[in-house]
Amino acid sequence: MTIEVLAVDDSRTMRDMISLALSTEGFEVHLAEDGEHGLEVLDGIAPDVIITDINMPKLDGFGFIDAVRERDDCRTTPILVLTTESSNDLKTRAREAGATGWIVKPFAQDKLVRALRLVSG
Amino acid sequence: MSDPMQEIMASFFVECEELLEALLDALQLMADGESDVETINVAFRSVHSIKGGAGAFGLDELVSFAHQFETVMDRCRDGSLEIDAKLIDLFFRCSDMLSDLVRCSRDGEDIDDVATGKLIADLAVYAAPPETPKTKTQSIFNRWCLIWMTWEVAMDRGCPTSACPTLICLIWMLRPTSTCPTSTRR
Repeated sequence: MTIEVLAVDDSRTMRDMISLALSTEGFEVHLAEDGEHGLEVLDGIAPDVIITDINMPKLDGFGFIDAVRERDDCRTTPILVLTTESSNDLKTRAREAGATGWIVKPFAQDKLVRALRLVSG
Repeated sequence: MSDPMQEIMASFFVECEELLEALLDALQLMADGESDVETINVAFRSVHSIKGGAGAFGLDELVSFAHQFETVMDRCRDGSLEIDAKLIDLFFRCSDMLSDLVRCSRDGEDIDDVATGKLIADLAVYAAPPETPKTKTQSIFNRWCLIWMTWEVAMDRGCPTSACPTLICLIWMLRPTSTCPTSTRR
């Protein structure tokens, strides 16, 4: 079964890297450039896993996770935070908002793939 | 067939130019006194995104500099550091340096470590919160407590009261024997 992923990141470079890393491993990847855009994309798809950055314009990662968790169709969808931030305060804040896990950039392809397969069951 | 990673790296350097332009625009607004909360957010995210991409390609000098730059900007974002003309001037110089580092990374040129180090040192002044009056007071209090306790212990062990700089007290206190021929106190 193909795992469907929504990746939200304001950096075009990071979106390209995530897309390359996951599509070559057989994932179906949808991309969004900020939290607001991510919510719009979510209207048309039902991803198995969501990846999100934290620092983004319009709607940041925390706001995006909050909004995702308020949607009936995404209450249990695993959300992985992928960011350069690594402070425990931010991790706690993300966990409280409803994030499933946290991966620090730069990411290793195998680690990201393993984490996605793990959380998507 | 082209290497996809090389294509992404080329795209990263194009994105860097856009981010540096956004950074300069934001800094100019700040210099003109026309900035709001989002202006500093835009500046921060520009540096942050350059750092994130640079990390993915192992551009360590770029990452180090951008990290120190964004740390200071983050303090402006959370309100713990006030933005003034001197700081904005530093941000402009850092923006120029960031631009140079991006160019050197892209073109494989040598990086001016001295100039980079100087700016990192300038940023470091703003990166850590200053010692607050409370912690300064606490620090002085702690030192006096230590001296006082040292004095007390030294006196108990028979250190001479007429010649008691703290250092002598410490040395005396650490002596294996507590007897002191000139002491009047036990």
